[in-house]
Amino acid sequence: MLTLSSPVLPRLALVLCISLISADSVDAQFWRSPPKLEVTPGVDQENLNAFLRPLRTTRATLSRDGRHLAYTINEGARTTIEIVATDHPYNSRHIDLGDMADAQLTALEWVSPNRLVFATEQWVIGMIDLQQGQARAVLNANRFSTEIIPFDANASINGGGGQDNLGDESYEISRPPRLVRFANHSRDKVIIEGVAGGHLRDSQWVTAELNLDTGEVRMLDSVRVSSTAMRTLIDRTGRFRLIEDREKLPVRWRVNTGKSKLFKSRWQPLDQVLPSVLADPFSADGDTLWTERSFPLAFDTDPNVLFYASNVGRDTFGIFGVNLSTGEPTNLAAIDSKIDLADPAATLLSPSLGNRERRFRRFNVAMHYTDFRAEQAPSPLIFDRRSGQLVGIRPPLEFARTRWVDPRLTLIDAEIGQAFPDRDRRIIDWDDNRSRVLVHLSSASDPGRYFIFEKSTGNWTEFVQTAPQPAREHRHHTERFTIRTASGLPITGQVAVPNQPLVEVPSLVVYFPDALWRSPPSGYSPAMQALAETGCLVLQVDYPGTAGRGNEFLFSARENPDQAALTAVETAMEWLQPKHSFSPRRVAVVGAGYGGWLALRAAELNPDLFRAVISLNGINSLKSLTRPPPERESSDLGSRGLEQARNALAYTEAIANDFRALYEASASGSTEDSTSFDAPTDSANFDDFEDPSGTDNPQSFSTRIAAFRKMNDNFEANAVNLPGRLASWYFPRDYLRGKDGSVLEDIENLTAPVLICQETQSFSVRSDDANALHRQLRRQKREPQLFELPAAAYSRYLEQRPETWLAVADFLYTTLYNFTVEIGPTKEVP
Amino acid sequence: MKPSRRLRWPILVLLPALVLPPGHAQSEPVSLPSGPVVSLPPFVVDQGGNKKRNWRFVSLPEADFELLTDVDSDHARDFVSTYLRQEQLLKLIIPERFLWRSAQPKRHLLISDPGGSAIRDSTLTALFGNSKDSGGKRGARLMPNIRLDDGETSMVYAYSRRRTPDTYMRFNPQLRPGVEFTFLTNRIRFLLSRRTPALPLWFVEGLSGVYDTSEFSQDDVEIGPVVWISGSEADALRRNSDRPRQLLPLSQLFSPPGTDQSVASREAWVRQSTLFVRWAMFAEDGRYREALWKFVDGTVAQGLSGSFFRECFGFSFSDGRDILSDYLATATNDDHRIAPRRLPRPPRFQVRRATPEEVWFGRLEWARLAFICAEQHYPELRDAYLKNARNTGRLAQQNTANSPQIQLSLGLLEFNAKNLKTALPMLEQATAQTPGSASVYYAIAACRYLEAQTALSPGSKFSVDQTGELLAIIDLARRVQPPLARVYNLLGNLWLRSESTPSPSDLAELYEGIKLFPDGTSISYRVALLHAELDQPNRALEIVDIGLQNCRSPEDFDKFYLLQDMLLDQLASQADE
Repeated sequence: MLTLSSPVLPRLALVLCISLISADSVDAQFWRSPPKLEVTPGVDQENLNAFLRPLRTTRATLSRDGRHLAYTINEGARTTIEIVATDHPYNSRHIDLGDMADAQLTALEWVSPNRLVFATEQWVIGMIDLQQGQARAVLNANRFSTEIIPFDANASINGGGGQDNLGDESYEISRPPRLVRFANHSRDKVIIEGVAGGHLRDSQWVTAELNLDTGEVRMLDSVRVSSTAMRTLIDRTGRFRLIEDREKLPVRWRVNTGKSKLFKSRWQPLDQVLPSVLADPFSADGDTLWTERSFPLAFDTDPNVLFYASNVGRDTFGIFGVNLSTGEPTNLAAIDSKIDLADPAATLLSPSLGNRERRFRRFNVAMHYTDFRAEQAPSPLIFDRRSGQLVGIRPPLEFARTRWVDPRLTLIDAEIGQAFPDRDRRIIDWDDNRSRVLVHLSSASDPGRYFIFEKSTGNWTEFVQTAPQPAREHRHHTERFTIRTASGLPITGQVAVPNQPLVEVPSLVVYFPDALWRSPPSGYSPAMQALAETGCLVLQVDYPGTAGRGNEFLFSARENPDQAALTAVETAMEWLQPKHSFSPRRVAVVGAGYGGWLALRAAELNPDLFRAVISLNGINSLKSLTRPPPERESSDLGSRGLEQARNALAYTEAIANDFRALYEASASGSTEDSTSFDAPTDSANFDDFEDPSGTDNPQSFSTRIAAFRKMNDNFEANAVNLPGRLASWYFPRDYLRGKDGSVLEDIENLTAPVLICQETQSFSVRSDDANALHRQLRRQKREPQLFELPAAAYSRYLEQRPETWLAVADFLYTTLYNFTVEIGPTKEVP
Repeated sequence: MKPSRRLRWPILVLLPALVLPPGHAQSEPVSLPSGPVVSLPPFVVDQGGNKKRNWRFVSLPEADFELLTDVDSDHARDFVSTYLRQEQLLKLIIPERFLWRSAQPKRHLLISDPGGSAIRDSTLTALFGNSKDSGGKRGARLMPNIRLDDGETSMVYAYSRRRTPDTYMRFNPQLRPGVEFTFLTNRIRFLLSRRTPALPLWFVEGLSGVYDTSEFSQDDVEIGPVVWISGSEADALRRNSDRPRQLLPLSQLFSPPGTDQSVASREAWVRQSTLFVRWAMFAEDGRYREALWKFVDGTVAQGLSGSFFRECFGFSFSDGRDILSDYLATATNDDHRIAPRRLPRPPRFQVRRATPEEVWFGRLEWARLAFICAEQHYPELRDAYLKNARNTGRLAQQNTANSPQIQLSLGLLEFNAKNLKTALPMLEQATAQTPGSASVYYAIAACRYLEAQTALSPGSKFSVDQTGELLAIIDLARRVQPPLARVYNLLGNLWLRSESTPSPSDLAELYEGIKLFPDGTSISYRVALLHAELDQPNRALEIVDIGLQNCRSPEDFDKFYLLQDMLLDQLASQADE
């Protein structure tokens, strides 16, 4: 029954509110200039900018004949491609991407010795011809959706051709193409995929083959997006082989058996093709999601062989193979008893979206349901370009060495390791003869450089730096450490030693990154460099609850996460003092996101230890983890929002008409039982609904239900909030209710000065916790500092912005040293 | 405007281009120069027809210097002054402790050009004018000269062309007064490579490379840019910070290069060695110079290690490589000038008439060294050179009333000619009157050793007494500078063939040989064999490892691997027992 307590009315109110906000005004906020800051003495702003500058080269690839290297150069907001011969005199060509330059590349691959294919985060697939020296777009989102595989939102809504008497505006939904891989039979063709849908019922996931020469697209396969959180896995031929429904727990995988639809659905539960001992861990409920489970990674050249990760029967995730046609395991079984070879969180937790993706999702809700992004999630599996065979496994922890399946690459990797023992090495590409390899070498204090190593001669040629850095003497040496607690649990982390400590015995800043359930940052860390630039010793502790080191470590924070992190920090500080002396009276704690909560809690649990606390986008209690990110319930829906509002108004008008009709009917003494009807929120009631009048009368119930349906369809359905569910399962109930571990509950213990740095108008982080903390501290007669920064364009996190660290440095100087800050000239921050 | 540095210092170059190693089976290992070597037989010193020469002599023991010349006193004085000034400037770049020292002074024969210089000049210019070993000094004038040495005695034969102003003016329009010559890179390489304990090869090449780009004036040194492939490459590096550059990992740079290395790889290795040494000496106002010397000293003493590198420089090998890479654009474009406020006064010296003994000794030594060279490189000329040397010796004996010095030189000549029966009495007789050199004592010990060995019955060994006698002579050779690898080889052979068991101090003497001559794998091999004979396979394996680290030829590797297998078998059988 539709009543006043129906969820429809609050949503209606929400829609009306939405309509008041125009999309343009929000976009304007993004481009607003950052606040002007005073230059903090002691911090070299040039260095700071250099540490935090986005990487200049993010992609590099070696041609299969080993004679050319192509790499990206990102400067400002533009991307160009440099192509350099790998032999002296290193002839080079600079390729301007023209209109496509205003986006990062998500793929760059050699098609032939003279041609490259690329994809951008603006969903364009393009080609570069070396002989012509220019780039051209081959396919974009519009062409993929309208010219080749048309998608008509209105047609789809009305079941193909029906007229919608309320729909006064139709719209096109672009299907953005994502480059998956080269086609098996030809390198002139690539397999692409895309999703499109105005709402769940018409959302479709398709794969197609794109001819790079002609631009012709041939459809390969399609599946209906069947739930509000869905993933797929395709094989090398572009066929959908596995789909995962994550709308509700347990998450389940279904497999495409390839059998005829006439007799049986082609999608069958995994346990019908695999023995239950192998299949069961693929279905994960709230408990097994983090304990014992398996998840698929990719298909082998043999489309029946699936590579998957599993931690069944062990602490860490290993990688295995199984033949789906026989149910027999293959001979691949890669296990490391200390670290996970695959990241379990990568399939559950998605990084926040950039503006461009978000704009696409505003119209194409199928992207929202499927978490479809321009770039594929990183895979630990490495395949050979020539043979397509699996040749190596790259663990998610940045510093962990690659496990090579191929013996020649094993030898090359060992040789590289011997030459550069203190570098994190990453073999990116190799030529078909495996005589030349493209290697990226980096360290915790250096974002790295790209080299070509020639096996036969032992020659090393350096080609480009990932990001130009200040001279070595201006960088801060960062080293990793591993110590053990009394209970034998390993504590890992990094220490950055300032090259110019502000005082003889430096202060210490403890840094908690935002890495709950994720692999903690262990490579080059701009945040560590930025903090060390303040002249303080910096200690980052990979607190219990971070991933990558097996479940024992992951679960060690379940009972008392705040206390566990503090204990780890205290142990690490004890270890650190004799190695790098610091002043125990000048210790500050900084944290971002979940790390911000840890920082605030650490200061509450041990008020004597910390002289200053800084929270960057921090949360106040674990209750906040159960809430979806703002993007999921965005108030900014742009023109789509306007349309929703229009539909909502039409619906209210229809209801009003209904009530009017009802009133008139009752006034006329009709006894027709028309005052009750099935709840329109139950979709089961729409599909079989038939207009009882059999007419198209706008004043009939059918019109009202149609109006309701249209309005409802245009709401973005909230996909399952997996992080929230994980938090519910992971943490003790009292923590999630805010009874334990709430910063606000124990606020009287928060005696150290607090700096709250908060991003505002962001689609990935909430600011209500920061505001609540600020209010509460002021009520306590403290003087917390609130530094608010509008969300930046190009998805730069708060920790990646110089303004943040200048504010942090200023705060540290004031609270740790009581320095008088002298205001210098202002420099624009890029 | 400052003139181009290439034009500012065209100087006369003392050209020891013909680094011809002494031609004797037991001579020191010779490091060949990197560039192509044009080899000519050494000159023969004779009386110059009927020309009467007035020989002059300068001896400066504190500078390890001797000059025998027939030029006039002023010219001789200028020559010595320039030499001493060059040595002083050289020490601004290279600490003295890294240069080879011998108890024998560096001998120089400066002969006035009797004419025909134009012919020689054009020939030699054609030969060397464009070679790298002219130091890249355009406009430099070549002075034909040859340096010969036997690992102990170094002797330079040079023509003076003071009296050829046309040539002088033609080639040296801007020569500063007094700057007659500079040492060529090969001489520096020689001084560095012969130093004991042996310096790392990368340091020898790197410092030689830095020297190669330097130009000396009377009172300062200018270090030019590193030559990195070509001038256009240097420009490209300056213009484009992303310009690709080939640099080895430092662990590879500091390891001895293999003999199977291609020419291009070797050139790249030499370039980078130069770059590293230049960076360490001059980057950031010489901040790392002391660290460089410390690193070299430590590497010589304890071997190469990454942790020691970090201790010296404050960063790792990998960081060091990156720093070099970032320094490259600077190094290929910038100069450094070393101008001390005041150089110390050179030692006082006197040019005097040479005594007949000094003249004949000089001539005989040159003839002996020329014979060694001819024997090794021109076997067809061996007898002619031996005959000439013997003639010179005979004349020397006649003109100097059997001077012991002459006797020693003649004795060594006979030893070099493998005429041991003649050599031994001459050497023993002479050493009874005057102390001998390391080569002399070695020659006596070797003669005695061979004599005793010939007398041994098959399968028997030297008795304790015989061993003691030979050890006493070898000990004399060991105590005189410079250390000679052949002395330690002989010592190793002696212990291998002796009935006596070497004491720890005896073994320590052998280890001293390994340390002094790490490249001389024959010493390591002998010591490893000795340990194997002493039933100490573990220690022997350690020595084999040292040998393997320094092997450079496939033959050496095979020899050591064979021994290693044998020792492992020995260990396995010991374990079975």
